[in-house]
Parts: sequence; C-alpha cells; structure tokens
Amino acid sequence: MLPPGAPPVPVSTLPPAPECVELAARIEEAFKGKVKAAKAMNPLNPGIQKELNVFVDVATDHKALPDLWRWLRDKEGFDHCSLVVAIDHMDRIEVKHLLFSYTSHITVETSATLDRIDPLMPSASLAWRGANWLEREQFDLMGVKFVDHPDLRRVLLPDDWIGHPLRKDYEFRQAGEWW
Amino acid sequence: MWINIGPQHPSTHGLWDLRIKVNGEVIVDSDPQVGYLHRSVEKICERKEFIMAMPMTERLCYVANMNWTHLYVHAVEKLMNVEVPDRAKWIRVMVCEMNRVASHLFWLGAFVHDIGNLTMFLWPIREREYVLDLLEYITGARMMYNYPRIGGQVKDVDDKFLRRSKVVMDMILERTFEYEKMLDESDMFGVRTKGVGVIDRAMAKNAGLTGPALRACGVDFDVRKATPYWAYGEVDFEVPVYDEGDCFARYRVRLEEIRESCKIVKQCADRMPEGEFIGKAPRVAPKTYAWVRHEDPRGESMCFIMGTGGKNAYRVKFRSPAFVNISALPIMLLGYKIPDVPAVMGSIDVCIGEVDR
Repeated sequence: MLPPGAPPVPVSTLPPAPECVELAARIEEAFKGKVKAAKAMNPLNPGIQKELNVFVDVATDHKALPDLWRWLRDKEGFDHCSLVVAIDHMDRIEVKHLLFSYTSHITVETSATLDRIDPLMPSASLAWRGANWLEREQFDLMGVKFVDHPDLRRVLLPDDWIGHPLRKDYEFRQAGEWW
Repeated sequence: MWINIGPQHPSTHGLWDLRIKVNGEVIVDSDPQVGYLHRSVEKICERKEFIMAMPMTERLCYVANMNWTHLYVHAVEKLMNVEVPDRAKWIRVMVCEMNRVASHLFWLGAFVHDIGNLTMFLWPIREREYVLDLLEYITGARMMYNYPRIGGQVKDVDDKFLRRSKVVMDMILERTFEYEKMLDESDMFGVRTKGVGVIDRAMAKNAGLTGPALRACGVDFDVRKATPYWAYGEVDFEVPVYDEGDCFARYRVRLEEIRESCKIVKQCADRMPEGEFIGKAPRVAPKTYAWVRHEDPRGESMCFIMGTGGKNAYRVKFRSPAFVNISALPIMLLGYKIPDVPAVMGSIDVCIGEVDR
C-alpha cells in the first residue's frame, strides 16, 4: 500500500549523455549484426549520482561476446570488470557483465540470455582476471556455466553442495542435502 | 607442499583459509578458500520487504556497516526514483565518512598487530571509541546502526553532535601524525612492508583491485570524486595516490584517507543545511532494475537490485570489494616468503562478512 501523498514512480525520460550515445554508435558499427542492440541508457536518478551507462544486448547469440569484451578492453579502455550478475527469470537466465572504464567513467552493461536448463556462455575472465571469482560465484549460486573459465569451482558453498540456491525454484532442505 | 594458513589463524581476521604452495620458503602458488560465513544475504533480501531487508545488509560488514546500509538504501531509492532532502544527503556523507574513519582505524590497529607492533594495536582502537560514541549518540547502537531509511534518515542530528564531532575529528587528525611517527620511522615496520606484496598498475586494474589497494598502485580513481553521489560533489577533499603498489603504500593511502575523511566530516558539520531529514517514499518498486556504485572503505562496492512491482526485490546482488581483492592475493604473494604472508593478507583489509555474504 502506498503511503498517502507518495508520488507515483516515473519512468526516466531524461536524455542520455552524449559520450554514451557516441560509444553505443561505435559498438553498433563495429559489431553490426552480432549484437542485438546497443543503446545509451536514460539516467534514472541523476540528481544523486552522475550516470554514464551503455546497454549492449546480445540476446541468445553469445559468440560475439569474447570479441566484444576484448574490443572494449583494448580499443575503448574498459579496464575493469565491476560486476557479474545472473538473474533467474523462470523461463530463461540473464547474465549481465558490468564493465567500467577508469578514464571515461562509463559503465557498459552486456546482457546475455541463456537457456535455463543448460546455461552455457563464454567467460569474461580471459579478458579481465577480476571477473574470475565473480563468475565463479554466479556458477556457484545460480548455476551458470562459463565454458572457457580457467577455474570453474564452487567458491562460497561446499564442493559437494547439490543445487544452486539463488534459483527461484530452489527448495531449502531438499533431499540429498549433506546435512 | 601446500600449507593451510587458516581457517583459524590469528592473521586471517575472520574465518577464511589461504592455502599456499611453497618451494622451500618461497611461495609459488596460493588458493584462497572463502565461504565459511556464507549466510545467503542476497536470497534473504529477496524474501523480505525493502525496509525489512535493511538490517540484513548491515551484517555484511561489521566494521563498515553504515556504508553498506547506505549503499542498499541508495539502490532502492534509485529503483523507486525517490528524491532525498538536502539535509539527509549531508547527514549521509557525514556518517559514512565517520564510519570510514572508524573502519580505517580498526584496520590500522589490526594490521600493525599482525606485523608485530603491539603498541600501535591499542592506539587506533582507542581513537575509534570516540567515533563509536558519536555514532551511538545519534543512532543508539555501537555496532549495527540501522540509521538510514528509504528517503532519508530515521533520526535527525543535533547541534551537540555536530559540535562534538568537530572536536573528535580534530583530535583524530592530530593523532594520525603520531601514528605516522610511530610507523614511518620504524625500521622494523619498513622492513616488513616496503617492497612486500607488490602488484603493478596494469595487473591491479585487470585483477579487479579497487579502493586503497588500487590507489596504492598509482591509479587516481575514487568513486566519490569520479561520480560523486549525495553531497560528495560539494565537499573539498583530495584522493591520496601512491605509486609503489606494496604494503607500505597501502598503509600510507589508508592513513591519508583518515585525514581526508576527517576533513569531510568537519566540512559537513560546518555546512549542514537546515530542513527535512526524511522525505516521502513509496513502498513498492517498479519492475525494473538499478545499480549504484559507492566507495566503501575497502573499495568499490555495488548493489544491483531488481524490483517485482511489489514490496520486495526480485534479485539483489552485492559486489563486495574485499571478495575481488582476495582473489588477487595469489598475484601479490607470488615469489614472496611465508613471513610476508600476514603483511600481505592484512594489507588488503578483508572483512569476511562481506566476502561471504
């Protein structure tokens, strides 16, 4: 229930920053036909924190992702992999990699859609070593298999744990659990 | 030969295990093992309402919990598109910086204790008490504050707090010069930290190091400066950067950050605007997602949050800076000897609560 007098939640219509628009255009040009969409995002709450965000959607075609990551790292100076997050949408799994540049302060978000039964995708840890443990964590808790990951083991849970707890259909204390 | 340092070892500062492979006394490989403290905070946050999940986010790091709750609250506010009143922004900057001072002081005590300087273990802990007293005065708790709310703060600060915090920050500023004398002029401390755990700039960026550990490698990056949030754009402070990339540089960066944070707190106390300290906020979030990036005492912390259209979140993800910094330990330790391990482990400032989540 909304408290009385609370404002309705508006969807952001503010224009994106020009450098983000340019970067999105460069990605579109370099990876024409390989990425589904590359667009600069509208800032959500710019009065609190400055936002420079570019969204790249590769949908279910992940073959261009390693090239895209290496291109971003070498040509555009994205030298930091900030965050890897997998989201269970019940019918599919979405994996987002948030990449950051220390020079232009832009965040590029690459989004890949995976099959929920057999979630396979390429690994960013060959481009950034910092993505290694972030991807291991998503494998551990969400079951995403990063195929060319150098060291894909569980990181937070014990090695003999069954299931991936952050999946929406994970049942707590399920049969076969080791305690 | 593989040697386990931990899970119960005085220099691990929490429950984690560093397996190192040695050839004689030289480290040739290492493999950190974490997860002993995994509580699945992200899953718990999905099941609770936004306001109910806030105390959980505090338990992420017991040393810098003010920063973690504010991170979560900021993410929820961004998701709901809530505007925060000016006074609340300044209060947030003030309490987060006080918490940073307390966190760095605690780190300093623990780090030099690992190195073997037991006098310096007591000094920063003594000063940290004053900061905890101040935070207790406004929040009522010494450790788990639960101070912010969605749209503002739960309680206003008063003039006595502002006056008192200036006095305490002046005192800490003065005492940091005593720490400096005690440590910089100590040969023993220099031998144990200078040239130990070196990581070069390109590798540090690639390995995902953030925060003081990255600034000790010569990268001039601070989220508070680069993409300022709340009132950080209006306060005057500097970002300490060192080029050496060793344990001593990390200690220097943190020591100078204490001074900069003291300066920020004093400015906040002087320039605290009048007005409301909490605004109106809805209880439901739209079906979209948002993330925020903050400067935690340990590095770059992020919170990713996705709404369901209802009162709770669909997916919450925390990026813990210490988690990624631990994963860079094998690079820092390669080629050093076993006596260097406590110095390197201590210098990246791990907090196992946020690593294991």
